[in-house]
Amino acid sequence: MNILNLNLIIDVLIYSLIPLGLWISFRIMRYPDLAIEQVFVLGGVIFGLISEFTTNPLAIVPFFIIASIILGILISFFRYRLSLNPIILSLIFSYIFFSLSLFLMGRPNLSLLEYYENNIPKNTLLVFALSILIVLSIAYHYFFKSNKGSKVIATGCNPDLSKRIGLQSFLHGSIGISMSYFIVMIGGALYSLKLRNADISYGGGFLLMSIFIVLICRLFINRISFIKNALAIIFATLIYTVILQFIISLNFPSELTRGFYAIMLLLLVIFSPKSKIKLF
Amino acid sequence: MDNSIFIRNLVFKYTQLDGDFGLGPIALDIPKGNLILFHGLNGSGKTTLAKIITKHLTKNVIYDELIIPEKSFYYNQLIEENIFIELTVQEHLKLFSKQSVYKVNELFDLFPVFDELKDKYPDELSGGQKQLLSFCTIISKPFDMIVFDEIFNHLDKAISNLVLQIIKDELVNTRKMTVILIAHHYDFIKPFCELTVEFKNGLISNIE
Repeated sequence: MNILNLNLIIDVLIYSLIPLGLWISFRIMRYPDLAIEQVFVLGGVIFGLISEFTTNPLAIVPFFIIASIILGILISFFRYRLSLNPIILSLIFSYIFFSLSLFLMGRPNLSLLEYYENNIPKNTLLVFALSILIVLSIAYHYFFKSNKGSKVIATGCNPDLSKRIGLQSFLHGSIGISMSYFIVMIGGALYSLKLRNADISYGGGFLLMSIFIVLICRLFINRISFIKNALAIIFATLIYTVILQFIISLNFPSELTRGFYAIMLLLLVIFSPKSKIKLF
Repeated sequence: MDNSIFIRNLVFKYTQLDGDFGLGPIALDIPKGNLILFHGLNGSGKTTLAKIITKHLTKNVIYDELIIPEKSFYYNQLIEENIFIELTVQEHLKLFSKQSVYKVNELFDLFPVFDELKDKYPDELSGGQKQLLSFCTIISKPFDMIVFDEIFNHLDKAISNLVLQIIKDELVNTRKMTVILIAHHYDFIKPFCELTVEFKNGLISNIE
């Protein structure tokens, strides 16, 4: 296996954490999260800032858990307590997260070369990313199969009924959004670790990619099974990345690639069966 | 107080494009642990009153006295609004495993039809089965009062009788819950009810 292929696989594993997070918010919580790119960036920023104090991954994880719980509670408060429109809410939070990342860094990017002097070996990154995906997928799968998981799914698919029968929609909404953000922030951290740099622009294009992948997976997998959907998302991310690499290798103007995928997404929405593509 | 509902001089007014509509003045006493029938023509005010006494409508409601149960549920006619489309039958029944009035196996005993359907999702069920599932999910919660608005619409005769029997025996007689049924076709329900309230033009026209 040459370095290019290994690189591609590492990228796919890291990138797939973003649609996986979006799948939780979009598909389970019915929250079309336009802020997902900024959550990814925020993950990288938090990782960069904590790296100043420790480079032990196990010591860093609790910070992501705390950050995702705080953000999950915040979003859930506006979504379920104040019943704000989810699209407007996620758009507002997209800007809030952008500003927060800039504020925390104090500049548009943060070099991590000081803390990670040598390039992380590709094999280590591969094992790291793969282990995270496997552990998270299994943990999330069993959570969503549990009674608590059913309550989160119930809150996502019918918040009004959940509220009427006393299901604590605020709590379960917070859990769902926090789980989504945790997985995306871990993706942001891995991306920053790989590049040894956190940058405000790193999220660009991931929202489009994630929506594309989540919708494609919705066409083929009808039910909420985390492992099945995770495998489908990883596979779809691989296809997406390979096509992107192929297009770039054909000297397709890079500034047009997002436009290309946006048109593909439009065609997907137009020509998909309405019953399948309907998410809400 | 033995009354579940005690209403004096309740008035509700709202404006639509084609004019003002209203309910009341209403005076009504409903004793605890009874099965009540609300009936009347469309637009006569029965659903509006049901929404007020289950706290679904609170704005523009004026009254001298209004005593209503603390924990109540208004079961509307739209089946899709009363189920969780992403949960299987079994997951619905397990949803309240801790605070539920019934254990999961007791629910399967009450509704043996779900034995074969436990791994099915709502979109794989018939309209009647969906309605039965939502009924089953909701009665598991410890409410003081439930209003069922046209619950028998999608049910065949056998299932309707089963639901009515569970409402009367389990909810009303055993759990002493106040249950209000709103129905247009009520001939088979009426003999089971302790009180029948008829609505006409936003007023209660008759109580039997």
